[in-house]
Amino acid sequence: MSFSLPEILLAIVGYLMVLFLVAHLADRGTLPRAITHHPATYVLSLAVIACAIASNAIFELAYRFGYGFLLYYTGVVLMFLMATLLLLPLLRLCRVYQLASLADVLTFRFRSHRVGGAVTLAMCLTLMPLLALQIQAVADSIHILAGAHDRVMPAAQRQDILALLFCVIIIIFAILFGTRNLNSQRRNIGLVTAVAFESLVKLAALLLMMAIAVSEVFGGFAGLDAWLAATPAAQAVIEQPVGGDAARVLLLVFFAGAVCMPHLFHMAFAENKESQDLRAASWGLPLYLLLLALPVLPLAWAGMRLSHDLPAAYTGLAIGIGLQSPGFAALAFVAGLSAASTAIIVATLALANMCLNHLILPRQLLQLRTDQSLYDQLKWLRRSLIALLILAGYGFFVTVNGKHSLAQLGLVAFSGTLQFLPGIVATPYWARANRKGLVSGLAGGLLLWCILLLLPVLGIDQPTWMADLAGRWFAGNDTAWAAASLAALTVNLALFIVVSLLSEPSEEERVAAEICSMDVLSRSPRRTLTLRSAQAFTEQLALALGEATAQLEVSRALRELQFDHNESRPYALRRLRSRLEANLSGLLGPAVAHSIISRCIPFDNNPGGSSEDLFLIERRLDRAGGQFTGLAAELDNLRLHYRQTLDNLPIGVCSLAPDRELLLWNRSMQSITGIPSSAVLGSLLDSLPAPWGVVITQFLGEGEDTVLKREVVLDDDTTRWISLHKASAGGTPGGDQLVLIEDISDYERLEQELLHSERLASIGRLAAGVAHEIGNPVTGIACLAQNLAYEDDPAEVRSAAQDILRQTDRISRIVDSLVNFSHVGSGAGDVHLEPCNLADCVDEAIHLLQLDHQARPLHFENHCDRELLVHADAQRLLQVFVNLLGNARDASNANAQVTVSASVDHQRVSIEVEDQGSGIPPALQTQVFEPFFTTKEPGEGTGLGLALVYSIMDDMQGSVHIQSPVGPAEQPGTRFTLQLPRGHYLTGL
Amino acid sequence: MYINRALLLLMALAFIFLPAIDEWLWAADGGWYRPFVLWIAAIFAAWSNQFRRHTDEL
Repeated sequence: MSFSLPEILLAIVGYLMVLFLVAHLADRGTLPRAITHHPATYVLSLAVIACAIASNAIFELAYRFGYGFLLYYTGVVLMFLMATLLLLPLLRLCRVYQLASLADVLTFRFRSHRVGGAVTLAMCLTLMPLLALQIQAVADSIHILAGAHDRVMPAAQRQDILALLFCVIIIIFAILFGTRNLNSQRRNIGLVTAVAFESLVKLAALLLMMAIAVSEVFGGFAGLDAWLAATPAAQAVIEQPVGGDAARVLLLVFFAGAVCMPHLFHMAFAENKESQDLRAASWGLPLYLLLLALPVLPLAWAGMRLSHDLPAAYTGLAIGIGLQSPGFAALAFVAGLSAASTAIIVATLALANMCLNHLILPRQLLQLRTDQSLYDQLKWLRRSLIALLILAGYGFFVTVNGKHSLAQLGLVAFSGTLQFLPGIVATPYWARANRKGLVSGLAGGLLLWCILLLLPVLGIDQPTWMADLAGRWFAGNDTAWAAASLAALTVNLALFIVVSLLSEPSEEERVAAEICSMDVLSRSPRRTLTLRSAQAFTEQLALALGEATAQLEVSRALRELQFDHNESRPYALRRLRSRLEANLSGLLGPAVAHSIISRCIPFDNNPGGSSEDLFLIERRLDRAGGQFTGLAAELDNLRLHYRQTLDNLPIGVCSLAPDRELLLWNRSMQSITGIPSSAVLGSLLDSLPAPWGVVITQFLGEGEDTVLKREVVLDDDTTRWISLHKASAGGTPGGDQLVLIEDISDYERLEQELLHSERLASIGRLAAGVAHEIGNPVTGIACLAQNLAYEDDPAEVRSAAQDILRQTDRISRIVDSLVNFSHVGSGAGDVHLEPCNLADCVDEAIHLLQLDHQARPLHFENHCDRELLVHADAQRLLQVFVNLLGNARDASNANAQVTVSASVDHQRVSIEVEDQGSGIPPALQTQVFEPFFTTKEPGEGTGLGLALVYSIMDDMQGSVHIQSPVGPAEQPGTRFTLQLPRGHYLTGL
Repeated sequence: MYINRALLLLMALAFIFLPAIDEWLWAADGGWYRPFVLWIAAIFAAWSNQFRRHTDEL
């Protein structure tokens, strides 16, 4: 039974075409999203770890180690069962900082592109045996299927040209598969779906092979049990002890391989960002591997029963040949081909990305042109690297020359990647680790690995002294590699720990260690950017990336953050910067991205602007709220309590950073200003809508910490009264500032209503006098009118008419005075300051008071200059004089004198209202301006008169002072001194 | 912290019962598939553990 070479090559191309078709359909969206984005697809794609080892070399491991072959799967299973230990922290890092490879993670953690370069070089070296393994498995299978199964091992007769042909086909498909999506941030749906499909094919082929083999070779599972019982050699396979050093090291290398192998890392972290999917994989991948491991022993026993002379790794093909079944052989070939091809494609894709991001771009080995599309240049670079890496694997395959089994090559590769485990474990768990320790450990471990494992595999002889030592220490082949792996790891670990402890990590490393540590919340310094808008970001980035790329990247980042293109809030710009760095990290690697962003979008070096980013910290705490337990949960509850208290305060609170960035804006602030917190938090004070930005800025610039009343006119011409207070948050000057704003509009309106009521009360008191005053002219008019009825003399008629007019003028004046008085302040508190004649105003007040004939008679004297003007509201000033003179009358004896005089001092007018009354005791002088304070008998006064005077004078930018006594003891008297700005006649009219 | 208590408890239990499990696993009269039974039990434990947290804590 054999196939022709063209048939086999056609089968390879056909299979890869099917894979490509699946990828293409998934990319175009023809395959339902329910399939391509299902967690099962992600889980199946992780089965890329089960490369040709799972389809071929595993039989060799089963023969050599018995049940020990399970350790290959157990290592991976353990890593995923304990996903919370290492995989979830790594996923968090990879997702937040757009890290796509092991080199990215270590570069990010140890803040050195040299670390990335060293890790990439080491990874390429350690992966070569694995690539050679895949090529060898397919090449040997082709030889066997082509009917040359007796010529597999002799090196001289190998048809390496077929392997090269296979490599060329794989290069084409790897380029087509892998380089469609440049940015690691977006999931490469096609690749993931194709690898998942491949995993299903591999599993289906192995399960079908088991079913056929058990049925055809043993006649069913009962026959298999009977044969096992009767065959001591087969029993011996599973009775080999699993424990021992070799088993432990096997478990360790495969455990490490689950996170260190670049192809698994790529599928696990670069192609997935969802922790739910990883959680599904924590049991899904073990389940898949269980199904994959199930056929191994029955197939191995079937191979034993059919007693073939092929290497153990090709047991599947041997059974097909033994059963004379081309279909079975084809199944075995497809299982091996699918496992090997996807492993090569994904591993070289991951390695190409690492080489590009850590070897080529940071060292500027190739200069990227900013006048051409960055994406196209990167795509071609990546394609070239994939081709180079596959050819390098082919070179290794040719050098090894078939001298070693697949299992040996696999163990050497896994032992090599074991050397990265200390660095990966230290990333989230050991903050003291530093780059010197990592590089020293890697160098020591990999050097020993090269000498003890890689060079012998390559056929290069070890030094004599080393060979002697190895021969003495390692008894038997199986324990030799285990001891060599362990020795390399021990040296690596020892150097890593000792050098890290002896040398100090840099400041950057400390920050990165904190970010990578197990704590969800990282320190978030709030630094000030030198650029002030997203547009400025684009302009600066264009210098490094080219205009088109810069525009695309900034637009993408803004879209992802749901920010506007005109964004200028410092908080938003800081987030935009971080997102741009993360996105560029997915494109160019973390080292290059960090360098470009630091150069193009630098932070301000002024340390005054730096503080904790409280807003960001709060957002993170809010998101993580449900997970805290114990003391952390209590603290979070406490934080929420105080937060809600602050939010629900009836007083508006806002907090400002030293650079005037708004850090806090509570609910009352929103209702007072009508500006939602989401619109202002993180923005600068200057950007606040009018009039609030001006009001707060002006207040912060004033010396006073408190302003009791300030009028604010809103956009819709409504007026608000607010009181303002400010304080330094934390009590340190130069730090954050706290501004409290209280809306006192209702209080102000209430006060005005009360004062208006008081005025009406005054009018009520005047009513009797007014009635009398109006009654007299009305009686006079009535008499004149009666006389007119009988008067014929025109001169007398004219005289009577003039008398009537005089009387009606008098009534009109009285009515006007009353109306004016009652209307004072009845509006919304509008104050119309204008030049007004002081003496006239005093006269008007005296006239009003004299209307009350029931009050005791007094001599009012107006000594004010007839030409003197004050800058005031005439009606309100009238109210002031009515109240002051009315009080003077109430406090004075009959026929006492009350004088009003005025003097000018520069631009201020000082008006004195002095009486000869009973005076005000000094103890009460501080209280007389308070509302509802009165010394009069109950029912005689409202206690609002002087409070009104104070309020009106304050509104008119004036002041009022009291002095008592001002005369002899028997008539102590009181003097009120009013201060007002001097008024001038308007000119130029 | 990412280390959940269920995992720690499971590891402690596995360590305590390791001798008994080992004896059962490699008993001469046991079926060749016994290790797979243990494997399934571990998968079941991991499957049930994934429902413990509903929030995405990353």
